[in-house]
Amino acid sequence: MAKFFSSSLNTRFLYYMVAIAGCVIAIFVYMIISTFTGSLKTEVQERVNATLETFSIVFSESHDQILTDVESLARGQDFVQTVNTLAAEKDISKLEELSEYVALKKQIKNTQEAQGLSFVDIVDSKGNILVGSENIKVGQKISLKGYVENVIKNKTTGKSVEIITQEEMQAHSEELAKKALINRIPTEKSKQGWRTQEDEHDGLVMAAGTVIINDGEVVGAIIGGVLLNNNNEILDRLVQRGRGIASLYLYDARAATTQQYQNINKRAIGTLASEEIVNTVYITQKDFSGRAFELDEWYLVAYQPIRNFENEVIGSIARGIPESEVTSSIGSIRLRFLIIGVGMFVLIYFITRFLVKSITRPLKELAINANRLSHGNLDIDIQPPEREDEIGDLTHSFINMKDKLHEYYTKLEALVAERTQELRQKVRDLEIARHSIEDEKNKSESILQNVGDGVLALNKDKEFIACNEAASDLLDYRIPEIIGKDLDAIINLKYIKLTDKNKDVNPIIKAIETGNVVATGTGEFAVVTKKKKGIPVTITATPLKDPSGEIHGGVVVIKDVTKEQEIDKMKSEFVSVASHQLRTPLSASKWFLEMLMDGDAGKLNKEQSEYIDHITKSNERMIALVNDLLNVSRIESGTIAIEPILTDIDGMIESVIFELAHIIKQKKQKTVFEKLSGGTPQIKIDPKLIRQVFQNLISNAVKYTPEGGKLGVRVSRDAKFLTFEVFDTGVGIPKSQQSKVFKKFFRADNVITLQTEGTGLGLYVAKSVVEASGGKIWFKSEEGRGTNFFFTLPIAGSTRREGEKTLI
Amino acid sequence: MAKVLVVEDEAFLSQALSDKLRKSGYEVETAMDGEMGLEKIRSFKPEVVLLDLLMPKKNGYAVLDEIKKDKTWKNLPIIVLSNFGEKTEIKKAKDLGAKDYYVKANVKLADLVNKIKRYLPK
Repeated sequence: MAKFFSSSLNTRFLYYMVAIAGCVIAIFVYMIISTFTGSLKTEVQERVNATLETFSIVFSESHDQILTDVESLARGQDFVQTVNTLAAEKDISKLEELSEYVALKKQIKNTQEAQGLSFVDIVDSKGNILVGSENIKVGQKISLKGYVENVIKNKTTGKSVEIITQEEMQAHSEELAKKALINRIPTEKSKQGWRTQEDEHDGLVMAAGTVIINDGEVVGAIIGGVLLNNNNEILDRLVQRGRGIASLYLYDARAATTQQYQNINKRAIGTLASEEIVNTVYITQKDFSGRAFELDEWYLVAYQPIRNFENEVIGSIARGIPESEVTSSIGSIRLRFLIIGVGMFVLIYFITRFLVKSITRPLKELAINANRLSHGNLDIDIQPPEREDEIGDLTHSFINMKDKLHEYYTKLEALVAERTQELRQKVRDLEIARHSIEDEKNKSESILQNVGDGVLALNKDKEFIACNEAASDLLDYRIPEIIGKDLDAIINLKYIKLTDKNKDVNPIIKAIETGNVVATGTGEFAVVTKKKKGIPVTITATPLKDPSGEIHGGVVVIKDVTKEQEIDKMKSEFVSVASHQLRTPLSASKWFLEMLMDGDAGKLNKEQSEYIDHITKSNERMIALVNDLLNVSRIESGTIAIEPILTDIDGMIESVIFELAHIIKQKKQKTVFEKLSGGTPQIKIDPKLIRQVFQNLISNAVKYTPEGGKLGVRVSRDAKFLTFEVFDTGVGIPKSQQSKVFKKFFRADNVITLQTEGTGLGLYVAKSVVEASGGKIWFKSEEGRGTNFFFTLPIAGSTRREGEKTLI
Repeated sequence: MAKVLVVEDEAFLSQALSDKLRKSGYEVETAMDGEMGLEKIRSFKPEVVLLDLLMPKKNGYAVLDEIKKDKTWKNLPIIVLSNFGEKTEIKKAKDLGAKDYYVKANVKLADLVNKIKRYLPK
């Protein structure tokens, strides 16, 4: 089957067409044959019925002849006279001796023989025989089952088919009785038990009779009859004309039959009618028309009942044509149609084959060419077809397509060659570029690897994408451990400095997020390495931007500042020891001066007193200088402790002012303290540190405000901060120098000339302390009109910080 | 007369202190180093000790340590006088039992005398 469907279009198409044609023809033939058979059978049946009519007419004609014969006898004047004479004779035993009798007997005998009748009888008005054509005895009774009496009684003339009994036949002659004998034989198709086999001794006679009237008086009757049992005369005539079978039945048994079949004449006396026919003809007493099994064949038959004078069915006439005759003609028709069918089939096969070939052959050629084309053979030569149908169009289109393909292919090849050339050039260029990039990369890498500081690069997700040996050494991680890790996983920063207010901000993240370079100072951060070792570092974080300005990562340079820190430490130790050594002679001077002033070494005169005071002031200035230097050193070392406690700031301010009271008094200055209504709330700050701030600011105000000037402190607040303002009407700070105010050792030009004491460290210390305490410091100043310093402290308080040092 | 021991290696400072204290009415003994200081505490039995930190032989911390270990001196007030003034140093001295800590350059003798007075029984 697979083979069948995979075969060529040609074959498949052929098979389809032939299969369809075969089916159509078969259906056609079947329908014609069945219709024809049906109509043929109907026609034959009609013919059968018509021959039965003929049979009936012939039968009736024969019967009429008998009647005519007897009537013509009965009408003869001599005949009537003779019968009248014989009927008048009282002694019937003497009739045979009468000459009239002999003459009449001879006359009817002649008539009987001439007309082929079985018998002719003359009876008297009582039905007793007067004279008969056979050797019948005078006075014997002849009845024909009452028919004779009926004719006499009713004075009628009439024909009838009647039964003649065996006795009545024997009365006529033994021969007649013998002739009538019928052996009943059931047919092959008869059911078992249907009419047991028995002999039939009755005779079926075609009878005619008429009364003999003399002077209006019935003197007798004349009866003529033909025995139908074993009488084939009429039947032979019928069959000769119409072939088939013709039968006469006595009751249900064939009394006479003639069969003309395949040129053989057959008799079949005594065979019985089929059950179906018996039921129709004898029981329901109707004509039968249809199929029946007769003798040894199936016949199309017609039956008609025969009735006696009492209208009883006593037999039937039947006519039939063998079915085989019909079917043989059907067979020949069937054969003819079969031949036609096969012929049509073959014709269709060849027509289809031709059609299919004419369609598929060019298609096949196209397919072969398409196949060649698909294998890249564009040089195939296809002949343009002569046909102008769809296949012609298709072939033309195919040729067009092939030519176009050929054209495109040629162009394409050229294009490919050109592009390949371009591509090669590009590859060469790229190769050169790659080499130069690689050189650059190698250079960069070698620079990167040789940098002493740790260098790391991050992408925008803050994952490391590169780092150098120095970074790996510094952080104790191997390079592969760093690459791909998050920033937080590798760089763990610890904030160590006092002063930076952005201490919670990671400088690397800040650089990547803001896009600005962020650099930390020495002592601000330590990095905690893999081995949990804290190494003080400086960090320079640079964001990486693409040409559009978008940040896609950052570069971090980490510098180990351990050595710098050590130097710082040594510096701070040096400061500590140096200040100690400086303080020792200063404190000796301080104490001896105090004792001199107190008069412990005797009372001083005014001049001595004044000198001692000058020395004391200079000494105190030296001490203050040393203290301030120490404080700066402490601040810069980054180890100042902040120990916040709840503090009464108003009290602190008052005490600072009080400490300066004698100078204020000396300078006749006016002081103001503008408190908050209800006083400044107590907040948690480091009182030692904040006191230092107030001291520095207020003492500056006193110092730089001329005699009779005004100074003071003002407190205000908002939701989060307390703001302290220290104001004066002093010399102010020149605009040009305002930016340097919080720098170390800064002293404004206008104050240096005042020859006031001062180290230039106070504001630096104040700023450091305020910022470490969580506040801000700033100022407004106008030269010659005064200065206002402001600083804030968080109401929430300062954050505690452990540390080794505090300020003095 | 209340007894004050001055343990101070700097002669000028030692003199200034002892002179002032004597003038203020105290019986004063001086020691030039830590070891001598400890001996004088045992022999002189002072009621207040002024103790320097940076000294030869035994420094002030060592002296404080030994005194702290000896229950006899449990209630002896020791005032540390030093020109070091870092928080760590102050804390260390106070942990070792010092009652007060003054930076010499920043304290007046008069204030010191007043302070000593406070540690003496009335």
